[in-house]
Amino acid sequence: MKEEYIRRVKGHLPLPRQQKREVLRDLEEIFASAGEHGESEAQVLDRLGSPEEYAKEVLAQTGFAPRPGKAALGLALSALVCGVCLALFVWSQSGRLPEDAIGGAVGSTGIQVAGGVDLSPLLLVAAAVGLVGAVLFAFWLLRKRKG
Amino acid sequence: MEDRYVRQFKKGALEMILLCLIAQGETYGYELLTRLNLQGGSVLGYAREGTIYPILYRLQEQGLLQIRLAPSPANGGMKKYYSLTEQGREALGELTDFWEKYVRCVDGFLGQAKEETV
Repeated sequence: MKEEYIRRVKGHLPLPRQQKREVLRDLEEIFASAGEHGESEAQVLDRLGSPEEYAKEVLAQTGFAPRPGKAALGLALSALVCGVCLALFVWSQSGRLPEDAIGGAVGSTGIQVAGGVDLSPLLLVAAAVGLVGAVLFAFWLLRKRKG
Repeated sequence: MEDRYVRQFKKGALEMILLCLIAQGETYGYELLTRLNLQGGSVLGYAREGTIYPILYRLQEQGLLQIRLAPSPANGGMKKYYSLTEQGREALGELTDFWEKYVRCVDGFLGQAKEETV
């Protein structure tokens, strides 16, 4: 029970590694000292409250300012990728036909442009991937907020 | 749910009280908490581990407390024994001075208010 409790507290402590170690060490000491003084593990667990509550109390004391989580960063990055790729794609499409093209033939000419791979579909794919990523991270973030 | 002001008020003296208790002799978390609650629990409210241990950690980070790790007889874990550093003693002195000024000042106002209502 004690190990489970400490493990669950650990999962709710977004703190620098050293500080987190101290909090968990203190918890071990709390149980050990209580035992020395004749208290049962159950009594201690009852007194400490749920692991989430205990973690919250500790965080409140440390004046902790939450860092943006992985979900939030993922969302920002995906949105950025999507936006940039989309913008590049649109820009690449707009320059298709040079202003001063002679003739502007209706049918396709027999001229093949050597080399010059058209990358614009790639941009669209990248933008789509970014969009999907953004949606996924958004869902993840919403689920975290609720939990 | 307790009024925000009263809560803040109760928190106000807590660090000073902890320093004061530790000044009386090297002690460890459980003992500190027990003494604190025994003597002050009814007025200050019951102090919880989740509140006190982080404060002790902060006081240590600020250089007011020093730690001696000693093996705990019970299960081979370690126990932190807290004592005041020189800086901690100075801080306690300053806090105590301020507290005494504070109490005199507030009592002054309250005394006047009492006289008015007589």
